[in-house]
Amino acid sequence: MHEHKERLRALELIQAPDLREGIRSWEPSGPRVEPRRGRVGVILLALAIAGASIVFAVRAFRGTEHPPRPATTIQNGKIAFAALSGGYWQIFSVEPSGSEPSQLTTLATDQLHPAWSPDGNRIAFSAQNAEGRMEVDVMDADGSDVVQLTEGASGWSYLPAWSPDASRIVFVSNQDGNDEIYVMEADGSNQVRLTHQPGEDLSPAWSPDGTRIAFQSNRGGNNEIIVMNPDGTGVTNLTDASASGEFDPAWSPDGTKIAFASDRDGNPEIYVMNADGSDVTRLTDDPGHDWNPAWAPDGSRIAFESDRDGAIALYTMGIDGTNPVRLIDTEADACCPAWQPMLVSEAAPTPTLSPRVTATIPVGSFPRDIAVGAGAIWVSVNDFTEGEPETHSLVRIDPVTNEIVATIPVGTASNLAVGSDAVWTIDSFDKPQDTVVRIDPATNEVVGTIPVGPYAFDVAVDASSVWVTRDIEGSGQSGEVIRIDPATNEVVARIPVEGRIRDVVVGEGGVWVVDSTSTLTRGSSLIHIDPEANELVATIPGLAGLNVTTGGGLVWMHGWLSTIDPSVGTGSGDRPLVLRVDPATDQFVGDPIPMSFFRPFAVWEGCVWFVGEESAVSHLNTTTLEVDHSVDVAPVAQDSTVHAALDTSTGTIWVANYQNTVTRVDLK
Amino acid sequence: MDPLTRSALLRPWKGEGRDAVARMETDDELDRLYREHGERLWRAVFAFCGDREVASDAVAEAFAQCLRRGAAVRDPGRWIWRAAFRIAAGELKDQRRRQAVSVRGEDLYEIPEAALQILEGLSRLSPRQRAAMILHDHVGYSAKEAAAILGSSAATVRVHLSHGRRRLRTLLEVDDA
Repeated sequence: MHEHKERLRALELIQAPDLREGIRSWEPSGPRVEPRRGRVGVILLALAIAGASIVFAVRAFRGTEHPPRPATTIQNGKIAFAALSGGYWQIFSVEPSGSEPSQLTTLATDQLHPAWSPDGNRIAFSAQNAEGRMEVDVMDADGSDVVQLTEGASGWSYLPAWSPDASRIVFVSNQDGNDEIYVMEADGSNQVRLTHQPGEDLSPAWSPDGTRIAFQSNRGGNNEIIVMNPDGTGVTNLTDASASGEFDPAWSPDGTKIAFASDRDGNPEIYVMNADGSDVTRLTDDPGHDWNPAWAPDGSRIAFESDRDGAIALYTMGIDGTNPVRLIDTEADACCPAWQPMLVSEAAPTPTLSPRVTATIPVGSFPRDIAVGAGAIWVSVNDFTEGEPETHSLVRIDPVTNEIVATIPVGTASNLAVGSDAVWTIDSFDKPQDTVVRIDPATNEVVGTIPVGPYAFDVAVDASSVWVTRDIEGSGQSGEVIRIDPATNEVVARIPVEGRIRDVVVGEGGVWVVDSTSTLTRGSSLIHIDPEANELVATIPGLAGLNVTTGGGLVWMHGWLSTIDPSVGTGSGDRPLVLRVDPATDQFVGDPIPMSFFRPFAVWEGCVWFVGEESAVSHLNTTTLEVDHSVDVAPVAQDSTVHAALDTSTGTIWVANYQNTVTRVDLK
Repeated sequence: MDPLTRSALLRPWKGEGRDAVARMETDDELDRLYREHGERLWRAVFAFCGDREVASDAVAEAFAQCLRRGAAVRDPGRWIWRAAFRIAAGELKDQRRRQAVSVRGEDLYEIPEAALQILEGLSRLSPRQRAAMILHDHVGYSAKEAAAILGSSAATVRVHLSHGRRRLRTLLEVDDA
């Protein structure tokens, strides 16, 4: 990239005149200082809403032939936007609460200006093609099923916006020389040019009642907000500010107001006016540049972009400009928000899950691991009190009373598993011979110790086996997976594996072992062992973090984008993703889900349960791939180890955290 | 200006006293602003429009308007850049030379060959590509800052940058061959 800068350095050889004397005697001509170029950007989703009500009858989607649908409530869905990713603008969506954004496009060209269809199921957007021109494309809300709508031999087609009945799309094209407003059927057919002016007409937005199209134009010299009929007639200027530019019109969902950006006070701010241009009110007032307003479908808030805090970021605010909230905290520039209308049938069932913290149980000292089974919650507790000998014990909690009912001294109890009528833990730490300790839940007594060799780490149990991981000589170079028969407490197999061997889980017909060689150099991997053959069958690269879980026919892991797209490389363009592995093929399936922090511990009721950022317990819907809820259990640093276990019999999550407590989260 | 001198000057002498103070402060401000931005801005606008006269007019007009507005302009540096580019673009439009701007004959004689090559390459880009490359790759503004100057979005500026760079490289390589 520096090549361009090098080339242009030659311009510094040009002698510039000193104009100061001229300026002192210069008579400014005033009105000539006008914004030359409009701001491309906001696409308002136009909604068929009668009056100010948010309850309306959906008339028809994709053409007028369809039968009417039942009465529907419109709610605020996600906010789609474009952000720089891997050197290109890509389209993302994010919950208005600011969850982890989902990346919808992953092309090696720029994708911009998302615009939601009125039913919130499709997104029209500006897509750069291989020749570098922009075309209008449309895709499903999850980024699938991309269809190119425009195909020009020359010029750009971009900045799409839907008609409220979803039958047509208004957009900008410069195929005839300069930017003009065009309209086409929603399938891309029958393009009609609506404006014929020498200026640049940009950022069209269709009024919610379908009768008007607002846009910005500099046809009169500087940018103004103009409205016209959908056939191009009846052109009316809504603004007439000779010394400033007005940009990015956005209709309120009830059609009575238009938000827009204007630099009339010297830098761009968000304003709102009545739909006839009267009663202009400024909503933002800050030194940053505020652009691209987009109304929430329920009319309660306005999203916009601003560089007030540095990078161009997305914000939402009240419709009177109060309470601005930054949407996502990202270094990369983000632009052109569009708010998804979510049509909710009035008879929609209420969510069956409502995670909430119902108890916090002090366990005295540091809880190392937690497991659920045999009618109890088991916590390995390490006491590192200064000046006293280090003690380790296994604590048993009664889920009925939320009380500790037993404290069992067990060597150096660490990682835990419950199964085969026993509780299993590793007694390790700097011993010549680590042991797997077996506790009988009926008596809370240690009933077996099984030597496995030094540097044992984790334990997992299924119906017929106990699986233990061990790092040979603690070198981090190679290890083994040890199989114990719970009927005899005998080691029945040792399976050699390469790497820095750590966690183990059993499920979906496999034993899954974490090789955490290096999460920094992306050198970690997930090892698949076939329990039928006691053999390693696959090494899946690109693991991020230490945790995996199984369920729903899949293995859920946290990996790096470079794992599935080697062209990304392991540099700054690499991002962490939730990845799904098909245990039958050891291949990734489905779309990756961008997520910065993901420690899965269970799959239950169509959801993957995980510890997320800031130790929130969250769940990822395995069908919609949405993160639906999160419960803030213990706000500790991301890199702290917080373990959790799910009791599927009661729908309860138990979290061991660094506050020396166990937190109970009831899901129903 | 130190506070003592300032308060002395502000004494209500006679009718022209205030104007004299205002004039001095304006000159002061102009010197400061011009030292910081003048030559860089002129060069950038010249590279954009390829016309010495248009560049000088646009820069002078932008400075003059900025000074006249005084404290109403929050960020004079940014304001001047925006105004100058807009004025220059408006002039080009008036002269129907937006699409094919080229360095005018009388300007050629004092431009070094290396710079001339670049100017000619730039002249064959679209005005938006040209403006984006000058502000970002030559002056060193971020895409966001360039967008603010051009009244565009950083997204659009980046698109123009990538296209402009590709095109300029091709043009210069063809010329070299």
